[in-house]
Amino acid sequence: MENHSVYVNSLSQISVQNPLCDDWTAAPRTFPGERLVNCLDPDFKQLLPANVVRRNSKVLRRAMVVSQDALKKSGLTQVDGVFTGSGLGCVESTEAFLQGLVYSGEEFLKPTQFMQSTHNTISSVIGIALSCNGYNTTYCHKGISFESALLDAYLQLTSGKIASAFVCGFDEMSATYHSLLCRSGYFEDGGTGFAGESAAGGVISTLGNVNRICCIAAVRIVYTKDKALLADTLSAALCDAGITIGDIDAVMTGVNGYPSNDAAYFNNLDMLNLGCRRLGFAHIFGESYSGSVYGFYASALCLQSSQIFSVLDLDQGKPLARKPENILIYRHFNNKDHAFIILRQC
Amino acid sequence: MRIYVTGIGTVNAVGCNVEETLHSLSHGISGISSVEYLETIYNSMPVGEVKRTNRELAQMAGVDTSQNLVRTPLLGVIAAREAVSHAGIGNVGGLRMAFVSGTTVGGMDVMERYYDDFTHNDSKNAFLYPHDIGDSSEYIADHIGGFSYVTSISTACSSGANAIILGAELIKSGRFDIVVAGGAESLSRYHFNGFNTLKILDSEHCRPFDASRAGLNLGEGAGYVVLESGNAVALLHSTPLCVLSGYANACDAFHQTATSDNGEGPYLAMSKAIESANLKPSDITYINAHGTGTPNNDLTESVALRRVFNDTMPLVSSTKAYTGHATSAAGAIEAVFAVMCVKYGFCPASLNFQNPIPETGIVPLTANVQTDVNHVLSNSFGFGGNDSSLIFSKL
Repeated sequence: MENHSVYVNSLSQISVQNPLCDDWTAAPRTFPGERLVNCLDPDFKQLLPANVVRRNSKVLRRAMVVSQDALKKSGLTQVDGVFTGSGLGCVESTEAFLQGLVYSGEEFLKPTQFMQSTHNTISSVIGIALSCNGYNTTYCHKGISFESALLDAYLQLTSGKIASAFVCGFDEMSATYHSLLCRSGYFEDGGTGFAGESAAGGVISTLGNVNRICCIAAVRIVYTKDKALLADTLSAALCDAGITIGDIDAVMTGVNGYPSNDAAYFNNLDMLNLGCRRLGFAHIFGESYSGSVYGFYASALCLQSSQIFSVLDLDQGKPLARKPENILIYRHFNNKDHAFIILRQC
Repeated sequence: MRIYVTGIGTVNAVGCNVEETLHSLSHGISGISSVEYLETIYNSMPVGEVKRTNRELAQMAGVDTSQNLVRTPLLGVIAAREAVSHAGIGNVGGLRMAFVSGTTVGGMDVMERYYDDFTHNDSKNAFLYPHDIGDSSEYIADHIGGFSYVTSISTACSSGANAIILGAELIKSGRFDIVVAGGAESLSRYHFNGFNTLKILDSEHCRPFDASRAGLNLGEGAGYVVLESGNAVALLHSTPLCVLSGYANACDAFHQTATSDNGEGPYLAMSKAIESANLKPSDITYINAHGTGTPNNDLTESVALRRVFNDTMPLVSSTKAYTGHATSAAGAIEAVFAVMCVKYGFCPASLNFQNPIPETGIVPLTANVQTDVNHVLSNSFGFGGNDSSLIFSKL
């Protein structure tokens, strides 16, 4: 099997922070006491044709803008595939159609709401926005939706099957769906966490002569409740990256302010209790199924600028003595799905 | 690297297991009939229902019937368990297993029943699991057991086929030795009405590739295949049924629900799949077409078939008039059919066909054919232009 190096070439985001820029690294917006925060959208009318804005739901507009911005920044004109992670798909359109069905019956439903409600609508709109006839897929698997999409792209890139990919995470959150997910236990009572949305992604490739932000050194996912298998999976990720645990400069965790979610991180990963620099993204971007795309994005920016932005630091510790070279991203979901990504400076 | 298929399982409108399904397909028995179980005002519409209640499905699946019973994962457990048992997977030693499942509906049937309560009060909290796509896959995986990676694909009507493609890639990467891949989808009021608003449901039995076709009949069910590496086959002494010799996923990148006039996405999916198997179009024995019976799909699929195969068309049929269109499970159920075709040397007829589409003149099989089947091309084309093709080949 061939084994190509994989680079992150560009990143773009719309989130609860200022859209399409990285200024949160210096002064993020904060949301004390809020339980649900929706994305701060750019003025879509400045970025997309008026009829496109009118015809498409919010998440689809975000998908078009983020994917086109990322492609432009990457220096490529085309990607070989589109890989989307979305835990819940198009919640706004799904709920609109569902509410019509539940409250008004089967006779007055709107086809557009259904058309824009299937989970793969986002990825197919990106395919159209990027004029990409290549591989196009959507992973909908809770908190490892983005990681599953990244793993698929990563395997195809390392084997040489494709040379470039747009990889992304998109999720919407409505007030009603938020109340449902509070009942299901995803958004926990207590703590400081808040629910958000996700709309971010980037171009990754094996190509040498384009913009490079950092290198993806490992992607490993495991479904287990067994700590030994979890440890083996981390070892496999370190082995893929050709490093040891001591080479990890910081761990980007999915700590999000929800108590039982957070406790599992410190139980599962000893290095988090042994002085390793602990980072988080969810206190800045909010929690959503595919929200770990922001952890990926924030970690890549740290490596690109050779610093750990203090706003990410869960311990608000002193600046790192050395420039960060390797960042481990670890996210679990329900303490059953676990994903490890290692990003490296290039 | 060769990817072996060592087990298959399915539940669908023409059978609750592989044996029943094989009997129906080989005797031209359709499972399409009026709605019996789905709660809808359109109960005269023909559908491909699995004629069992959720409780009956739970008993078949060996699932605790006192728990919340959700149709999609129940169908999934039945088919996945049959596939694993067919492959004879027991103690796999140190071999690594993954489960990849496609669905779109997930627990929507429960969601549409209790949505108002779920979003306003705590009275129906017991029915909140399993409700979304990820829940549905983990429910199935947990009832089978032994998987160290579980993930879900949702690419509308090609979900099941794309799950099988990922399964093969996971084995080729060396990370997994055995992958159970496929899809499950139940009928729900939500997607039944969604297709109805798009005006692509036929009020009569669907007629794939017929000039008079007027739409599809929705179906439900599940299909799973067990994929193994050569190493796993050797260590477990598995008996391969056939090989998954090629596959491709392409995007039409044209429109959310309609395919481009020249069938670019379907053309790319088929031609790249044939190329990936190191075959020529003339090597294909039989095509199990997507063939939903909608005017747009069957025309554009025919155009793409002509582009790939020109005038030397292999045997073609659509099995949608047996099972209905089981959307996210369709690609997986038809992958199971493709394996049966290779294994038992037959190609099923396309039911309800009379006159070819004038623009392309493709004539599907009107009677079953018993023949040596070397290579089957199975098409699955989804909303959003998510188009995938799989090729199953004789050992």
